[in-house]
Parts: sequence; structure tokens; C-alpha cells
Amino acid sequence: MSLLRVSNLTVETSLDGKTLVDDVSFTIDEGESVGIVGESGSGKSLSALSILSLLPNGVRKSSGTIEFKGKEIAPESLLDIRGNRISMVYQDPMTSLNPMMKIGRQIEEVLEAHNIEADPARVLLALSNVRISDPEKSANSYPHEFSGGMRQRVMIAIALLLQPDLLIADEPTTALDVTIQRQILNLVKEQKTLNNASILWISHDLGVVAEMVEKVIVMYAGRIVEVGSVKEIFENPHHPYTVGLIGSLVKRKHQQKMISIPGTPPKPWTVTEQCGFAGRCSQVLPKCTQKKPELISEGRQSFACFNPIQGGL
Amino acid sequence: MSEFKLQVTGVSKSYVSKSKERSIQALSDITFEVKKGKILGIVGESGCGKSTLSRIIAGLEAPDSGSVEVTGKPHPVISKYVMTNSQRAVQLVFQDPYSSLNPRQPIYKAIAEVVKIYNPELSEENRAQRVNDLLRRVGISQDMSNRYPHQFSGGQRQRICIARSLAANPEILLLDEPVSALDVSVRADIINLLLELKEQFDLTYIFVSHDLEIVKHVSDDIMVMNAGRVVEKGSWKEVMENPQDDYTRTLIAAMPSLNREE
Repeated sequence: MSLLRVSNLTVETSLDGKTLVDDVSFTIDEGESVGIVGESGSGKSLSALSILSLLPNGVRKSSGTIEFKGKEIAPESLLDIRGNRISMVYQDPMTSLNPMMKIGRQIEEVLEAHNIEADPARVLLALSNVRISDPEKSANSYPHEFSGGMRQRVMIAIALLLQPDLLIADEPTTALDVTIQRQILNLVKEQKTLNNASILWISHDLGVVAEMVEKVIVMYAGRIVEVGSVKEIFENPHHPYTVGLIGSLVKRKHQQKMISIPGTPPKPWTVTEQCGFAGRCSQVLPKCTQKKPELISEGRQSFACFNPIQGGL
Repeated sequence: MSEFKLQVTGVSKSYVSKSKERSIQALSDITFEVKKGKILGIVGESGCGKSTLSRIIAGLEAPDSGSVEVTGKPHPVISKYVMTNSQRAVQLVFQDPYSSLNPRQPIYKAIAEVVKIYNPELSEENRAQRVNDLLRRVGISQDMSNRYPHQFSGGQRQRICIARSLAANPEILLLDEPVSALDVSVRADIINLLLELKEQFDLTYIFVSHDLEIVKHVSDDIMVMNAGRVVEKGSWKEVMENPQDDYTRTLIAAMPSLNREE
């Protein structure tokens, strides 16, 4: 049984019903790490936010089900799941911490919210687990006294406080410098092994995803275009978009032309009965603009394309 | 005539905090030079001084000490609201193409304005020709020239900013994180364009970025900065393959591993 099963998720704007996420389905097994990659506007963050009903104002889930441990997540059970069984880390730690509240107090609050007695020792342990030196002094500090990397450590401490089954990380290192990113990546890997948690890692950075997860979901213009293991996706991608994306990363000879995808991604709601990538695709067939390709499986890999690329990069 | 296109010698700069209690040394004794037609990559993390350095090279700010010379001549500091021909040689392209274009100005006007400053002798007709030629060179079609910045994608906006900087007939382009704000699939496009334009317009580039992978791909030489100092500089091969400084080694080790060779 999968730990999390998202089926036919569709997200749209509340006001005028513009589709932002179109019929997205995927599963995460116990202890499995899954990455969603895509560019801005591909629907990767909205898909993740839908899981905990955290969609921003003006955007709503219009259809689809989200099952956790075989049971659909009902609004009344959200409080028991959110921050407890499934927790989340965001891109910008400054906006997710309360600037007026000491760090230690913010951690205690999580315990109280889940009816657990706030034990100071537990707060200090949570901080030292994420390698924050001098936990006592840190618990007594305000977020602005911390650097970006330290704040993200606090967020991770909060997210892992109740040993969740699933940690959703939405671009958690994008705002950080590379050396700090390295520390956070290593920290999450270490904590994952300790807690045996599943991870859903959202990122536009393929390098980071390749390092952090086992299974990769590639999203484009609101839809899933390809799913496979890291090895399959990077060595034998089938969807022309994935091929272009990976190709743009392959090291070219110094100062030689890089492989690029011409054009820009369309808005998800402008692609209805066609493939979203058709306008930029080198492999385009007449039917690509007449019909929406479904996700079909070939072994453990699946892709939504009428004219897939065979034989790897 | 100097052998170097750009020579920066002993540049230091410090800022005093608002309360005047502390002085922050943003740059200490920065010295380097770039030969004509070459690309120098400058890497470092936030707070390392790379932005202050770009501002000083562009003449937007004066150093406390040291000098900036372009083709052997001192590069002047821009005085407020007065642009003269002497600033022409160094032009900037910023990270966020949206905040560097006026949202209420059609892109034709944004570029024509620059042409007017540096080539006031051109007739209106010739100016239009020049603007359209610049747009064509960066891959923006002429019939889009009356549109406003918000009607373009991020990649197109960056192309427009590049066209605008070329309107000044620069010798050096200072590219400050030119692709960091762009989506992965359009980054390669802009890099390819920049490499082409360098040849076409006979330019010298300073490429400032925190992204080692891209800096490694485009640069002839790389300079690594940390805490306002140059910790290492050399050819891209030396710096990336045989780094001498501890900080450079940490930076390279921190790159996420996607080590695919062609």
C-alpha cells in the first residue's frame, strides 16, 4: 500500500476556473523519496500544497482525491495529519517563522497544537538534532538574529519534531548560498535515514533532485509529462521536454553552444485538447495538437507523448 | 595602448552603518585585469562583495581607493542624471529583467532612449532602423516593439535588456547574474545568445554569478571572491580542476552532483 496516493488532482483559479494543475496522479511509498521537477508555472508547488489543503487564496482544488495510508484526507482529520504525520518546509524560512516570537517558543507551539506537553528538553534536542550550536541560546533568540541557513534548520527541526511519515520540501534550498545548500541537503539526508520518513522534494534544480530522491516526476504546463527513477530519467528520458531539460544540463565543450529548448512554456489553461509541449517540440506530429496524450507506462517509467524519443540521450 | 580592456587596481570600499557605529569593509584591495575579447567569471556567495565590485566597475559608485581603467584610461564615476559618452564603454545587464525595464514604457522607447543619448546625430528614421536592428540581433521580432515589458516572457525581457545595453555601443558588458532569475529551459538560450553577440559586437564580458556550473562553461578566466577579497583567480581550467584555495574547494564540493560528461 502506498503511503500517499494522489489521484486525478485538478486545481483551478476560483474566480474564472482557469486550469493550473490538470489531472495529476502519483504515489509515494513508505520510506520513498520522490521529486517533482518543473519550471515556474508548471504546477509543481500547487500539487504539493493541495496535499495538505494549503492552496493560496483564489486557487482551489476542483477535483481529485488525496489518500494517506489508504484513507482519503478529510477536512476534519487535517489537524491530526498536518504538521504531525505530514509536514512541510518552504522556500523562504523568514516568512514561515513568526518574527515576533522566540525560536524556542515557536517549537513549543507545535507540540501544544498537537496536545503534547511542551518539554524544554525536547525543544533543545530538536535544535541540536539539526546541528544548531548552543541550542539554549538559540531557543532564546528571534528569527532575525539567525542567518538564512540557520532559519531553514529551525524550519526543518519544526517539520521533523513529531517524526512525520512524509516531509514535503518545497524548494527549501533555492534561497540559500551553495555551501549552505550543501549543509541543508546533507542534514535532510541524515534525518531521513534516522526517521525513515518519505520525502516529496519540489524543485526546479535537477541537480539537487537527482541527489535527493529515487523517483522523479517531471511536470510541464500543469501536467505530468514523465515519471521514472532518477537513473531512467537522466539516462533514458523519453519525453522531448525531459530530453531538452536534461540536455541543457549536459556538459558541453567549453564555450560551445548549449542545447536549448526554443520558446517559452504556455499557460496551463491555454492547452486543452493538445500536448502542452507541442509548440516547442522538435518531434511534433499532427495529432499532438489535436489530442491530449495520456501518461502511458513502459516498464517502471511512464510518459505522456505520442512520439517519444527512444535510445536515450 | 594598454594590452588590457579592463584593469582594476587596488580597489577598496567600505560602508558606514546607519548608526555610524560600524564600518563594513565591502571590498579590500581588489586587483585584476581582463584582456580584450575575453570573459572573466566572478563567483562568490551573497555578501562577498561581487555586486559592490560591479557597481564600481560600471562607474555607479566611487571606490575609497584604487582605480578602474578601461583601455588604459580611467573610467569616470557617473554623476547623477548626467550621462556622457565616457560611460558608454561599460554597460550593465542585471539579474531581474522585469525590474530593470520601465513597465510603462514600450520596449521600442526603452531602447530608442539609449540610442538618442549616445548617437544624438541619428535622424528619427535612422534611429528606428538601429533599434529594429538591435531587436533583430537578440531575436525579438520587429512587430513586437510597441509592446510593454509585461507582455513578454522572462527570457524575452532579458533579450530586450541585452539589446538596450548594446544600444550604447559598449566595449565591456557587465553581466550580473544574467540567467539566475530565468527558468532552466531558457537559460541555455540566453547563454548561447550572449556567446554569439560577444563575437558579433567584439565585446569583453564580466560574468558575475553564484552558479559555478555556468561560470565554468562560459568563462576564460575565473575569479573567486569571499568576504570582500579575491581568494583565487586563474584560467577556468586551473580554478575548477585544481583549486588552490580552501574556500574555492568548498564551493566546488558543494555543487549538487550531476556529473554527466558528453
